[in-house]
Amino acid sequence: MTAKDQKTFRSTLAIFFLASAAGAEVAPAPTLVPEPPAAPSEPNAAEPTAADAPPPAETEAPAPAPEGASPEAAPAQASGTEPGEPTKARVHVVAAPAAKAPPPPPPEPVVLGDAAGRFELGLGLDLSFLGDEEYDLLSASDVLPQAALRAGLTVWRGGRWSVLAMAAGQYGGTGSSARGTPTHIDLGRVLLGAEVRGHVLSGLVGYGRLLAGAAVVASRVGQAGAADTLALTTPAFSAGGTLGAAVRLYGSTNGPARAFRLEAYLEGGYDFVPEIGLVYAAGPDGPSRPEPLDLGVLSASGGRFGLGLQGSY
Amino acid sequence: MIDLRSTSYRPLSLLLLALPIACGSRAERYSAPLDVVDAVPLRGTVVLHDRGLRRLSFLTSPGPLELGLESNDAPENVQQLLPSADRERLFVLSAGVDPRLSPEDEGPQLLVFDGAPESELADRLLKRFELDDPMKNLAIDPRGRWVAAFGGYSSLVNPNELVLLDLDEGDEVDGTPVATTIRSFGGAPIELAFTDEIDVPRGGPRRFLIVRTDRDVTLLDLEHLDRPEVTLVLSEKPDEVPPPPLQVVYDDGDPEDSGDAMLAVRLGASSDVVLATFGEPDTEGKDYSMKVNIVDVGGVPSFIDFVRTDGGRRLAALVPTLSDAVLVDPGSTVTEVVDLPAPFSAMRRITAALSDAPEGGDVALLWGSGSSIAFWSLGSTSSTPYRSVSTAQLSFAVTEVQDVPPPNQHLKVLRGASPDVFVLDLESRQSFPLESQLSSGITTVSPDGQRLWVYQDGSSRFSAVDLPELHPRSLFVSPNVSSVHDIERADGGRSAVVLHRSNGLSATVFDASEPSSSETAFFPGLHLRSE
Repeated sequence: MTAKDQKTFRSTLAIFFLASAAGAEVAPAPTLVPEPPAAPSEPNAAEPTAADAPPPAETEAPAPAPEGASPEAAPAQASGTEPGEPTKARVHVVAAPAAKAPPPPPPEPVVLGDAAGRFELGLGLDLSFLGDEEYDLLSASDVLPQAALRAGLTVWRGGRWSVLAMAAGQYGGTGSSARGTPTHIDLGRVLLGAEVRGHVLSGLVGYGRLLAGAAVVASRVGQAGAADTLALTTPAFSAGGTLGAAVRLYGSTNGPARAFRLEAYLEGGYDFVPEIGLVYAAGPDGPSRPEPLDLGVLSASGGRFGLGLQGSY
Repeated sequence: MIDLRSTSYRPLSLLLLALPIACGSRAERYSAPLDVVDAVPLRGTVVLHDRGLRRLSFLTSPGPLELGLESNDAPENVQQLLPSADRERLFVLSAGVDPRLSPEDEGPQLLVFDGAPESELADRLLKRFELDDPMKNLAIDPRGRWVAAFGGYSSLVNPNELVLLDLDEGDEVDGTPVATTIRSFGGAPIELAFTDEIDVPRGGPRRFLIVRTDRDVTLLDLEHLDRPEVTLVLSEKPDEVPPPPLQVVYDDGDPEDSGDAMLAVRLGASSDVVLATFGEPDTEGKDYSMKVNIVDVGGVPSFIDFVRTDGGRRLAALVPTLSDAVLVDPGSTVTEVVDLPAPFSAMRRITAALSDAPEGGDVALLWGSGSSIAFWSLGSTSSTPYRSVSTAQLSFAVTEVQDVPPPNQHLKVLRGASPDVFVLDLESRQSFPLESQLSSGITTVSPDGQRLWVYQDGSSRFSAVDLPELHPRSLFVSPNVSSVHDIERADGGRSAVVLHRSNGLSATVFDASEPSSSETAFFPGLHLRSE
């Protein structure tokens, strides 16, 4: 601290002291502003490491530093006393200037990519389109609505690309009345597979996913709980492919940074389920010695459309 | 943040809304309503006409406790669905697409289907007759050769037009209908009946179609459809509306005599009975001429029929208002009154059902509004008429007499306004009551004459009565019974197909010969099956 700075500090302290005694509002003392930071030389957790850092060409330019951050603006309240002159106590009663808004935090850098070990959890609605005529037995439309839940873990990253190991579950059901007889079908799936994510723009990611696993189809013909209701339950293999896109709704723009993000997704795909024989059997409380009711073969394969939200950290 | 309400995302929003409804139409076999399902039993199949789905389903029984299903598209706008007298065939009269705007639209037609347990034809279609105009009614030849369609369906109808369909014409599926219009004296056909062979003075025996209108009777020579028909006008004055004919009976007479065949017509609200003889022709080119007599039987008859007595052929007329039967000698028109112990209003000749039928005369069963029935032995009528009638007392008035096919044709099933059923043994002249808990029971006799099924629509309990032994078996089935049909199996046995209308349409199959509730097979969802 120079002699001039010491003088200024003392004057300011005196003014603050007097003003406090008089009940006046005192403008905040200017703070000492450090030198502008140099380019980071050490990585930290909140900023990309050298390995995380995308190529410079893919990084957007940071915003200019805020006004007032320059050291030249600091001695705005400094006294005009010449050096060597005896110090005289002078009292200034000054009106307090309007309070300034705190300076906004520095913007995060926009970096495309995913964080290592990123965990993703998604919840949404899937609409499967089953155009098979036998599905008309069970639904008045060709749509099977399903709740979709999936969880993924980033297992590989390469620039804007990443690969997730993924587990997904779907469950849905629909019912109808076939010629006055209530009918219903439930379809559940548990699938495992992988998803490839590619960051297109900041906040927009496209992905493709391949999953396979087990499905269970349960269906009935007749009123639920009635003695003469016919039912079937059958397991099946299931697989599916999906293409989609997710838009970031909340969270850091710095992709490689470990932070919570919320995305909305919209996707389409095709699900494969082998043909299922619609052979219904009566329960033990139903009519005596019932023969099975064979209503053909249902193809539960078809296109799928889905939307929902996914959070990641 | 994404705002789906913004203009930018409006196409996406519309897509999301449209997806659930952007679907194809639902298959008719699952969306069609399950309305009335007509069940017609044939020899080896039960035909279900599913009106909602416009489908004919043939239920068969290939083996014990088995049920097969064959389905055909039903023709458009079915008007009549009738079995042949021997249950071998099914006649389906349809009116076709209305209005018929393109040549591809189905027209009116009559289809004949095979009713065997196993048909050699893939679609069971035996005959098809395409009609020019929709018809409404069918008359079936009991001997299986002819079918007549009458009564139009269009906005403009010629009620006196008849369409005759010869089922024995050629081997081709497509037959040729023959349309003819009978002369009209202001009436319209009400009932058509095919006769057996009637011997006429010239040209030999032949069959006739008797057309009963609301004011006259017309005869159509089935051997010579090109010849003009003969009409019996039942009014003496041209400007007078005659009493309506209610019943027409015929008799060929002596097989050796070609000039004694007769018709008799019972008239409404009249004590007159018209007798018409197939006499010698009065002009060249004709084979016969009708000679008409009118006989007063003393009261309004409720039933007439030709009978054989020890005095020869007679026309018997029951006059319930007088508790009389009147026997008319058709040659002399002399009448003979037989007092009856009750006002019997209906009769049936049962001579053929008796193993030791009396010589010289028929035996008839009489019933009416009282709770008694009578056996009328006509062999001794002329000498001791009153004693020829023997009565039996029942617990209800008989309204229906059901025949039992051979080998138990000596049995009759009597029904009335009572849950109980009587089985009448004509040989022993004994009646056996079967007490039933079913308030509105339905009785059907098996075509093999061995069983009587007693059931009630909506009940879970029904019965099979072994007719020779009159041994009832109580049966239970779930869901409740809608109807019971006894059909021949493909292996020669018999199955009872019990139809249910609960939770759609289903069936339970029993072994008809040994029915037991513990040996059944249940076939659900018949309304949803396609094959």
